Amino acid sequence: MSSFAPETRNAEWFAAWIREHGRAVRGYLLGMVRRADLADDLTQEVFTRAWAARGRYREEGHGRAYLLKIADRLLCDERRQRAGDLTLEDADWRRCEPVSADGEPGSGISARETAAELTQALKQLPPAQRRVLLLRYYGQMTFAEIAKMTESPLGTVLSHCRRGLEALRRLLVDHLP
Amino acid sequence: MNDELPNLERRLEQATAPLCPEEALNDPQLAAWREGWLALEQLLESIEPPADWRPVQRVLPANISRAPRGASVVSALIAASLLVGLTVFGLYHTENSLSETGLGRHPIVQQHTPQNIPEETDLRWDDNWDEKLSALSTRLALVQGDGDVWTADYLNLRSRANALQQELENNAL
Repeated sequence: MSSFAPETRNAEWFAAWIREHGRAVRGYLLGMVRRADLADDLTQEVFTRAWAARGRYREEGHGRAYLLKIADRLLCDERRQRAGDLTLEDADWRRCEPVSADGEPGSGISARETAAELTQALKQLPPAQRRVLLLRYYGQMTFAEIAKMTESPLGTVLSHCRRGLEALRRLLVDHLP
Repeated sequence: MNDELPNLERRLEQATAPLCPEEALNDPQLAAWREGWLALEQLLESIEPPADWRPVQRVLPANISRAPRGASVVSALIAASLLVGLTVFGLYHTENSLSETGLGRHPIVQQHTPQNIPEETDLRWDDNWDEKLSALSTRLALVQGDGDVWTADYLNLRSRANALQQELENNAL
């Protein structure tokens, strides 16, 4: 992304930010809250806050990490307000399942089954493991950066990642041919 | 354990990197992590928003909501202006009606219009107020009596005029 000095951070700069990071922020939020409508609302709130704080942001090439940090803080606030009631109904997840790309009936069923199994796996992942995996995927951050952002020890972050990956793999091996 | 941490970090970084070196997959544990990571990638790609998803339209709610809020303020001002206008018109119309009926000009009516009646703050039997009501009734009766007198005089004059006209027609004068 081209750099902008604070005094030139205008709507154009912000639109570029949204184009570059909007989907990643929304994806992270959707993976965490597992509700599309809530994820959209929270994404809007993340960018609203980023716009309000644009004067304080220091351009260091970590725009996505900065936005994901806002999103993470927002999630913590939201979780506190809703007393942890941030879950996705099964019907919502089914709407997120992929459809067959090649149109073959067999592959379509297979894709849906795969998605259903993975969906179950993600649902079973504790939020802390999901958080680390999603930050790694969407933020493209190192584990040291994730540890710094979440204010967690590096060993804890690595442990969450390892257990999360093992849970996903275990589910695949157990349920898929 | 602390000595193992950098090694674990490096292996997990490789397992979850966009591209994993082939030789790294010789490590069975790393290969297992990689399978789990690729499964996660597959799911997350499948829940991507549609191509026409535009977060720009959903951001900056202040700009979006400014127009409706301004419209509601203007609507409220127009409604308030209409209310004031109707009230003034109603008061003006009522005053004209009183003037047309003559009530508005009568001194007794003017004296006892609601704004001239002293406000009572306490509900109790008031002999003074009762006396005022009696006086008002008396004065109203007098006005009505005056009207009756005027009516009698008018009828008397009209009767005499008719008699004169009859005499003129009969050439009696």
